[in-house]
Amino acid sequence: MSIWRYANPAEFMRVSGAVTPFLTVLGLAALVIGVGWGLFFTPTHYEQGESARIIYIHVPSAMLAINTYFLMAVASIIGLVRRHHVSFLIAKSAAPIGAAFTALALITGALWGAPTWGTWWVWDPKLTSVLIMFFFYIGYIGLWGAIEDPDKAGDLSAVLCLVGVVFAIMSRYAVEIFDGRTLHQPASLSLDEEENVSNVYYIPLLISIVGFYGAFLSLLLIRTRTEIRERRLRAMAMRTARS
Amino acid sequence: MEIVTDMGAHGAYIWPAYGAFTVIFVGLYWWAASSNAKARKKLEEMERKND
Repeated sequence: MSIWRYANPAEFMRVSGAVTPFLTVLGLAALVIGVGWGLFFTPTHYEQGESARIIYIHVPSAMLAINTYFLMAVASIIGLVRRHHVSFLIAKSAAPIGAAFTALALITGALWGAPTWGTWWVWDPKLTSVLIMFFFYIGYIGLWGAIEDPDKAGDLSAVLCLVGVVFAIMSRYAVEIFDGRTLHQPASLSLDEEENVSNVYYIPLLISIVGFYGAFLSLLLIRTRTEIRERRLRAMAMRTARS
Repeated sequence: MEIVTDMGAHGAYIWPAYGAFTVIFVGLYWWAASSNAKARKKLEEMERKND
């Protein structure tokens, strides 16, 4: 069975309608458990003190900020190559959610940086890349809104999205690329067990990440369903106007 | 397992961070659900008119 059948709006609406309520409940439940556990039930960090509790929202929001951009880029490429308008609508729907998570990552990063680094902000390659990526999100949303023809808007926004991918890559790998010359620490989670945060912080962090991803997917499906309906409304209104 | 509610001096950074998290999540869900309900209602009305 081909994955492309989900590019059919009717099929997408059928499957997403069945999956969205489960994802919403699962995502929000994991979010409450992970974030609540991390905030109230983990021990004080030996080095950073209580401020380390920000990790349970900063790390998942930063992961989603970057990965949502990658998802938009993949959806944009599929839209440009295969001309499936659902792909463009997925990218369009993901943009405000990704922008919100990027804003959350920047806000929580500043609030964590102040007591830990002694500064709210530095023009560090990682932080700067995330800020530029945030501007690309805003630009992408603005471009979609500025062009009336949805096909043209999808194409041009997709190109803008692909230009910004370099900043998503930089946001993800700046610490490794600028080895030792960034204030930002390396990733808190790693496949190498020794580089991971200790288990007492790791498990609630993992649950929190699952919650963030579940909530993101449910929001994305709700928004894409809305965009499909709005596109259909627009098509019907144009047909009525013509007849 | 001990419950920690006193964040000491770091509370000034932790609570606003969790406040931003709450505002952003509640805002996203409210916006997604309300825009979806609006679009669904409009589409149903339009389909009824066209029948």
